[in-house]
Amino acid sequence: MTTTSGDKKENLVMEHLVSLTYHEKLTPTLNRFVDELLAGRIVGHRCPSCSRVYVPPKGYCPLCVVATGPENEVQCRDRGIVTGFTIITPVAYYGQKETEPFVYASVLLDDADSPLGGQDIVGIPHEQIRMGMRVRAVWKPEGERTVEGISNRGWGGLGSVVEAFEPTGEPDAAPEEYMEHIF
Amino acid sequence: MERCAVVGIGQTHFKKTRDDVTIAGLIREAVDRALEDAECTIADIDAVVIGKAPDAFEGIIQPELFLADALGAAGKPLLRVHTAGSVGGSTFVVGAHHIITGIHERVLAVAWEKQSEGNAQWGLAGGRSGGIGAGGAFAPWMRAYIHQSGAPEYIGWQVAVKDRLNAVKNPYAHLKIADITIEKVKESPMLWDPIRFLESCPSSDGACAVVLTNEAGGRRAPRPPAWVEALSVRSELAQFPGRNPVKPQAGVDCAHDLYRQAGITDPRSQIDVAELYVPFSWYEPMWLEGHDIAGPGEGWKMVDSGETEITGSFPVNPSGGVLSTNAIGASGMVRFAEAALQVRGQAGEHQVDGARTALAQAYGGAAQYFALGILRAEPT
Repeated sequence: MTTTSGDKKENLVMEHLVSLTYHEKLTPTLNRFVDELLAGRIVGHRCPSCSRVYVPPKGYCPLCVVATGPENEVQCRDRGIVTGFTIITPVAYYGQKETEPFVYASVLLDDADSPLGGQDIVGIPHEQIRMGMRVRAVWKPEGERTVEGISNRGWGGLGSVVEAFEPTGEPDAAPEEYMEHIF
Repeated sequence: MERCAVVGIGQTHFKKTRDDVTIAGLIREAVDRALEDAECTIADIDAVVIGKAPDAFEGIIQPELFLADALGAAGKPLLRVHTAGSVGGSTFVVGAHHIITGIHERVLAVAWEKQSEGNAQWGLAGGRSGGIGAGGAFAPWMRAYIHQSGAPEYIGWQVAVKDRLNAVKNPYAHLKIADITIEKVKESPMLWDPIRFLESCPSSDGACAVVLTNEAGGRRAPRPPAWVEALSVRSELAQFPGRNPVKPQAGVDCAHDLYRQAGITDPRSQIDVAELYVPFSWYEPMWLEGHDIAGPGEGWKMVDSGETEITGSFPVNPSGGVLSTNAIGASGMVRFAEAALQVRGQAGEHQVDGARTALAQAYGGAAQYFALGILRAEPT
């Protein structure tokens, strides 16, 4: 049986670009997180059962299955450890703005138990980025902060408020400090 | 409980672009081959189970609506399964469950992806900039595996070469890189550090179908059936504190459940061949360890010593695997179909000598969905 045709026919291609704009209503827990973030503070929720701290707060601990609320709020320092990373070479899919290789790192804040995914690392050449490297947040100026990218599906991003993390220059953390927080 | 037998297997030829057929035509090609293999017609099928990856990958919403007719499912039960990249494996499992529970006598399970219809990177990114692709999501975990295991970087290159050379022996495989070498893999561009271009899967168009039946159907099948010995499915959250994405607990639990059902106490010696979902080279040693076939830090040594070669003591992906052919939705089912071909002795040039027990594995999402199966030449 012949399964593939050698005859190439010109296909009719019609470009018809459709724009869809979604407005997502954040949960009260995330709204509070965003307000604090815009003011330069990172808050999380500490589970009253296991003491794990989630940033951004979820309003519950998925491991203990208990609700968390404002009474469980804690403030976190804007410093942490790179727990995992890659350097992405853009493949230029439709709508992608990146044209040069970019960093995609997970950062575990010193006061948190859930890592932040998808963070940029600046102030160091790509080839020198390491797991265990200690970093601090690079905040956007107050007037330039937006909440774009923060959604209820939350993969732990800090939206367009903390634009990246940069090395603090302190000695790297030991693997046991971050190996359970690779994300 | 009924036994389940695989009596028909059909694959399309996988290519970058199958512009000679529609999605419906592509799927029907695999279905017709599976029916021909089973020597039955669509009229003999009681129910149809289908699976594909997220709709955004093809850009076609709810394809099951227009595919019912093309699949011969009109007037019959039609179910769509969805577990991201592992969906082909889960679709096989759901189809087999229809038989094992005694609900149906003959079930058609089909999985496909026509990646050229859309853009999976765009789909994964939700149409926004900043997308990282599947490779970007898995790269930090592969780096962590290398970091934890101390594996030399050439292990990834070895897997890439092995699978591509195996694919040359598989008439349905997409990539055929007969002249691939370690050097070529090493020199290929870095895509998602530490993964290079030639350590990554292609985007393919293609479909895979199987005809499943009960013990009576298996015994009167025109060709030797593959017997479904054990099946297991597990899932876990994509992310939680303490999660080990390098060796997810769901994958460990799934494997142990599978081995227990099949009476396997030492998978490395009791399994003759494995078809594992390896879209990026490092996932071969990672799943060898992730499913406790090899001990911690031992998976890469199995690669290095040639054990996973087609002639080795534990051949992995003699078909060429996902590294050579990745029509995403189909890929999980191809693992089960290829495992079945091996125990039927019908794998042709990529047949593993004396394969009696085969492991099929698919994973999906953020390495959070698992579908595993053991197929055997004889029912036990």
